[in-house]
Amino acid sequence: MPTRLQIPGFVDLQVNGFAGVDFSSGTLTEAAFRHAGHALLARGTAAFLPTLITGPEPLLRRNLGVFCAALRHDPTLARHIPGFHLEGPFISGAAGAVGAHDPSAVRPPDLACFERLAGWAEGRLRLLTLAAELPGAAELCRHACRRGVVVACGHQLAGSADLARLAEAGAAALTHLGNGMPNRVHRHDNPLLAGLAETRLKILFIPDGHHLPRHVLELFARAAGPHRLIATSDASPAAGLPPGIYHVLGNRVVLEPDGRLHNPRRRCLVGSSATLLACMNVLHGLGLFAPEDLLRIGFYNPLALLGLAPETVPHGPYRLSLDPAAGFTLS
Amino acid sequence: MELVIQPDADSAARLVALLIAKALREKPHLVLGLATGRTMERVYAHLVRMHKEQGLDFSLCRTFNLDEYIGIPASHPGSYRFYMNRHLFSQINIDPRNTFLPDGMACDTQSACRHYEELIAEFGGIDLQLLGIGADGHIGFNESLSALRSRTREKALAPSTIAVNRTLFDNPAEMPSRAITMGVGTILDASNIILLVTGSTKAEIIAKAVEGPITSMVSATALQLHPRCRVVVDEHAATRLQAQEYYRWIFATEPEWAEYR
Repeated sequence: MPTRLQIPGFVDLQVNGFAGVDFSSGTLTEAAFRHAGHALLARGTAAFLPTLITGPEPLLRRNLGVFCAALRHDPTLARHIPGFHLEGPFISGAAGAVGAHDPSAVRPPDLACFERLAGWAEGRLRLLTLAAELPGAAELCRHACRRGVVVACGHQLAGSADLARLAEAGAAALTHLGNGMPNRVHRHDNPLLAGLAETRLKILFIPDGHHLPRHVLELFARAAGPHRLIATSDASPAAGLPPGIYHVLGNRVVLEPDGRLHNPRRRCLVGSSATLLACMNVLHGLGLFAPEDLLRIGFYNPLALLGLAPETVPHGPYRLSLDPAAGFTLS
Repeated sequence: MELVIQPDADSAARLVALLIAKALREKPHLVLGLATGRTMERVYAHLVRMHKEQGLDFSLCRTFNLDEYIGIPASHPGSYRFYMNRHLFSQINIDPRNTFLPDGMACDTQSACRHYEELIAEFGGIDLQLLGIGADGHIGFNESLSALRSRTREKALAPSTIAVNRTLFDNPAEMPSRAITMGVGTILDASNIILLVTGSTKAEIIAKAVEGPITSMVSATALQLHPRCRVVVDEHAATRLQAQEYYRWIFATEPEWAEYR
């Protein structure tokens, strides 16, 4: 018998776009952003951080402006968006670590640049992803923390010493652990193992069924556990669209019928086509987590990372239920 | 209001614990209103057992108690903080920082009362309030003539209340005569209410409370105004109820009670 849950929906810390709208596109409009936001809210995501990936400063400025204008004009959407996530530009430009981001727009940690970005976000910057091994990363991290921005380490070649230094400097999480890293790395001192071992950092991960194979999800469940895990969709503009060929995040991508979204030329995944609800159902299907643990991974932990109380998240236009067989459903 | 009659005090307490557990599973960050008294000890024992045996998770739950004595510290065995720690909080995985009682040791009682109301509002209000009933029909320490719209405030206790409650003190002389209590209006603001009443000594007053006219003489009668109030009684407490047959029929036939029959 399904349990009708009293939580308002899931909390997604990383949403790059949705329903054909690319948040990092130079042609993003306020209307498109609002369309994507409301489409996402109807699909089981009660709160999310619109996420901008690495891009040239003028583009980041432009799109942060579009975000802010949309939230000013759409108070309903604003209640569901506690802030923004900047995934870059202070990340590694190395192949593999840079992922689907534009390597030419990557830059070293720069306090002045961060200040400009935070200013353009009008105080709504909540999460910053940076690469821990970069010179100045710890200093930028301390600075961001003082400004009330949560720092996550990702798109990096960081080893255990780098992550320890960043954790010391106040970093709180790892961005999509097990993705945004090269296929070939040092056998021990690599971002994945060092990340798992640095228990001061919460683990953002993408359980969409494509970004991480089942055995890695099982490993995360056992090695990190439900108190440290935070599911994110890493939803891309192609999420919510039918299979086909699309142009997203500066990549020509193929959305396969099974939901895998990739750039065949660069051989990398380009965000996911899943909502967080779909991700939570992948986790539910693993059978590794108790219902209350799933609610932590998809709701309570991401809120706690941002320092938000559950009461601050408004209900979406649906009721969420958990059925032992069918998983999470909306009605 | 719905009334459920259970065969004995323990099954009544168990049913209440099951209702609380269900609410907690639906909303792990439940804001739970709690009560004290002998009747409640059984409920808490069941919750503790469900925590230990089934892993019922309280780690995200927040609690607000109805009332607290004025003038005795939390370390005093007669205080409600002491009671809650002993019977529930210390035996489950709740974060003590998420458990709240009115501050009976505050220098400024009035501002402590105001603060308590604000705190409840800050957590989005109480989702589920557990209640018992006093011998003269009071809920919380809302003695006779408590305004039906009253808020959290200081109350002088009735001699009858003092006479009953002082038996719980090792040294009856230490029993305070004043307390801070949620008001009747505060209680009615809860989204859901469960009133648990057991034993033949409560038979007369519970019949008055649920079937009698609404009056501030019996503050529990205000519960008749609440849209989602469930009353759980045992057979001993049910003897004076006029519509017993109807209550039994509802419990036996309504689908919402199917899983508890």
